[in-house]
Amino acid sequence: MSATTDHAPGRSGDVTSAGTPVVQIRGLVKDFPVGGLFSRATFRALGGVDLDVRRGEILALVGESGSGKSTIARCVARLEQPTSGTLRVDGVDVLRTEPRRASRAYRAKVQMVFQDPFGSLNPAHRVEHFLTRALRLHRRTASAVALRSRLAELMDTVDLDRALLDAYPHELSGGQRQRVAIARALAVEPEVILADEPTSMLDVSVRIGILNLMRRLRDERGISLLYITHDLAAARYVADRTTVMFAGEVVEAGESTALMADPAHPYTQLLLSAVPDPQRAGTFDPAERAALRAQVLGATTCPYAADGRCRDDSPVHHAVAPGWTVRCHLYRPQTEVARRALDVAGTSNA
Amino acid sequence: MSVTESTSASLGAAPGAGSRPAPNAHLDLASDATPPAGPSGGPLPRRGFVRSLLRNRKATVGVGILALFAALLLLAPLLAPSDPTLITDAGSQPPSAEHLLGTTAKGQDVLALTIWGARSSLAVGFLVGLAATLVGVTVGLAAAYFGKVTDDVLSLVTNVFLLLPGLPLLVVLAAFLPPGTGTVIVVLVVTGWAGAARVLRSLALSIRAKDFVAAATVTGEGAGWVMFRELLPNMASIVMSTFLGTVIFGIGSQAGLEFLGLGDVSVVSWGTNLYWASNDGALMVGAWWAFLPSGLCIALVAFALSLLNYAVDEVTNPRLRVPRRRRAGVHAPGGGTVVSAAAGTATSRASANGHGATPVLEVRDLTVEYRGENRTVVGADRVSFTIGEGEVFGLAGESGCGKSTVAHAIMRLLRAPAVITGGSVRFCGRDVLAMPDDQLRSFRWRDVAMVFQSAMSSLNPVMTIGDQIVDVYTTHERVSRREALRRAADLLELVKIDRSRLRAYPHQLSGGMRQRVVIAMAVALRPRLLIMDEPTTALDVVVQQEIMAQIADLRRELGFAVLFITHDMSLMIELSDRMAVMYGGRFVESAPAATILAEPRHPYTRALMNAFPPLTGPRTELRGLAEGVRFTDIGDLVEVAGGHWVAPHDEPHDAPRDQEVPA
Repeated sequence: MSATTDHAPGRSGDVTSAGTPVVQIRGLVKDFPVGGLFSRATFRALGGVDLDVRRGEILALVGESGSGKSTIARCVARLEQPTSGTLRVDGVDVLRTEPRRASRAYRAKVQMVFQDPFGSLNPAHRVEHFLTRALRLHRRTASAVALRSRLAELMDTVDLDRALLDAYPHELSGGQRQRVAIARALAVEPEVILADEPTSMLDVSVRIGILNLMRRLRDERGISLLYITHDLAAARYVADRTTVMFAGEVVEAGESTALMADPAHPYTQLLLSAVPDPQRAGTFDPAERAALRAQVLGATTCPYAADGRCRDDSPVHHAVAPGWTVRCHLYRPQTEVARRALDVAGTSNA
Repeated sequence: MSVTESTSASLGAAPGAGSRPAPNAHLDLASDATPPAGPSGGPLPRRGFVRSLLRNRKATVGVGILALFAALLLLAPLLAPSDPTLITDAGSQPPSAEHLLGTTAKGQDVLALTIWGARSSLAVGFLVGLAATLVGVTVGLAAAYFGKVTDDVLSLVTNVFLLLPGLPLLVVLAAFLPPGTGTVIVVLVVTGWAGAARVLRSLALSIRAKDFVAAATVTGEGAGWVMFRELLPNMASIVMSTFLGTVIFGIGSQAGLEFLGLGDVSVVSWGTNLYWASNDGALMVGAWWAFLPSGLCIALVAFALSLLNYAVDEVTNPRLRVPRRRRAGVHAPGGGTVVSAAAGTATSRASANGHGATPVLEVRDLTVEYRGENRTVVGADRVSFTIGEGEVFGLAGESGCGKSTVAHAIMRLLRAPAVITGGSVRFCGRDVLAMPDDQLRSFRWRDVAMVFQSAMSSLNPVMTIGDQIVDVYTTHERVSRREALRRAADLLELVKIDRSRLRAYPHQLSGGMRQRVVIAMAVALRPRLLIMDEPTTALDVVVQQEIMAQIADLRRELGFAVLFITHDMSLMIELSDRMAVMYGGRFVESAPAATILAEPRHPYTRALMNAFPPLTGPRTELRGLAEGVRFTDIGDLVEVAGGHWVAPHDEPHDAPRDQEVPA
């Protein structure tokens, strides 16, 4: 895992700066208060996360709900205040320079697309309103004429009919709404877009369209995306690298296809084995697989076995390959366990 | 409405074939199969709000009464030109031609007093309403938006004002401040804003939690903008009803204060009219006319405002308007036989290939319509399939395609405006659509059970798991509580939950466990068919897989058939024996699951299959269905191979635009 802290200059699209992180997270901790008014109890949603989003890449953050992946996005979007840790955007330690609330300049760099397109667009406003506000707030347009053409351009970018500028959110389908949300983020001309499960509430037939749009934004505009999802197949499809989270910790990170072909962490293996895949249909009876899984997990004392070892003695990151790390007590290069798990995932060990 | 009634009447007379919809009826993907419904909570529907308000009878009556009073108020100098406070000799006269409403003890004309009194009373009422609502909105929004300390302080102040006994506070304040209409207004605003603030705070809090507020913040909007331009418009209906409520409070309290002599008694208002009437002993001498007009006016205005308030509620929350119709949803009593007699069509034969001689479920040409006020939407269009004993039949499709409509129709759970207009549903040979209510009750849990997508939240939060399962047994079977409890424990163990959890409440279980409890309850009476409508959509993949394994186990043990509904093709292909893909209320393809996997024929099926990128192999560019692509005029299924039925199709009308080369 590269720990470079270069003050990356210039905006995206700069070929030489590709590979340096635009967002760099170190030791991010977030505690949420639990219990009543006088309770001091807290729940640790993030337990010291390290994460880099490189320039012009799509980084997938996968894990179950409650694993803390959305909390990371909300911390980077400055919707939540982290308990501790550092967050650098373009090399600037933003929690230090703007500790209370994010500046507009920061908002211009970091935008977010939310999970629920039915909730993220105010039903009281028209599509045009969302885009115009974003353009105006960040002074991205000079004149009314420029505004009109910029609006049209934004709608074209996200493949929406310009006529929909006059529509209210309730008149749009889920996919169309999510495209509006993406257009609103694009209006600001950000360097990073945090996409929090942008497809999980959409009809399946339009999901691929949104994923393709994300790829296009990366390829054509050099925008970096932090793509949060529980869908490993989608992560593999769209993301250059994938980071797997479990219980507020990063347990494995690496290049997407390599990681999913040969997962090193038992939890990643478990996640992969649970994904329904028509290509595997018939080869796996669900009950059989559950039995196999229990066998694998019973043998490996993974997080689900909850013997407390990981709690008492935090595992360290092992390097599996360059740019690929796993955080597990049990990781041994090419162990019996890993091979059996691969069988479970139904993937071939190339 | 009249359209709906007349059509359903004709249907009742001639059910069956004649009532079939046009074959090219279809839904578009964007619109849901459920009838168009307005927002259920705060935000006002943007279009036609005023129009629908004026169409509401309560609102018309309310507005009418208020308009009458407004006219009274404006035309007072014309209607009662004489000075209402003028004291004459003609005291305590009952109504007569000269004094239509009689005179007070001092000889003042009661009609004139009442008319002129409207000015002060209504002015004070509306001013109080305006000011109290304004304060309440500001405090509520600020508390909800800023949260933390601001919320604590503002909520504390609000609650203190709410707890202070209103009337004594009014009396004390009114007694200390110099008398006058201004004082009355100030006093009423001070005592009246807190209720508004509390209601609006809790509403604002719930809206504050919505993503669009976070989205606006991320875009860079400031506090003021978010509060007044993002939150407030979504609270319009509640703000309006709060305003109407505080106006009523203002008018009533002003009258009360003045009746007690705490206002300025020299002002003419309905309250002072009552005060003077009481002071002059009008009631004791039987001079009812001195009291009645002012009292009636107060009651009338309050009544009108309340009506308006109700109307706002009804217009913004259409659920309050849905007429309760008994046995809505079934419109073909006996019609099933007619249709199934003619069930030799090509569509019907598509389903004739289930295994087993006597199918558990046999659906023929099932047609369901949603009848809106202006248009009728076909939710399911001549749907036919069978499910054999112990078979898993999958129904795939996206939101609005009609798959849930089919499930609800089979269970006869459809409610108005959904109406079954044709076809038949047979369960083990029995006509489900013709079942009387008592048979239906036992059919619904004993023969066919259903697990909904939101089933996890269908558990009663204040009852233990054990009590809820026991309830199932005791309502459907003659068993003792002890026996029911024993069976409940066995049932939990069947779904691999420890029997000690019988005493647990739903919130003490994880989402996956709750879903397993729901499934356990569904199979408690050993049904022969289990309908599962997106049973794992809200769950994580690992939990989803456990649930699916659980169902496979249960099926092995209990041998029930499954109708499995989902949008997740991968999951469906893994689990189902045979499946059908549904679009716009129609089946577009039906085949064994392995066949669909190997050679999907219909472009829509292929789009659904493509929606799930593979976990292995090279990463290639996939294309989903482009935004706005529609399939229309879906024809009847044609058998292209043994057991593989496909609707005739062209390529989509608007092919997805070319995108970049594969990554």
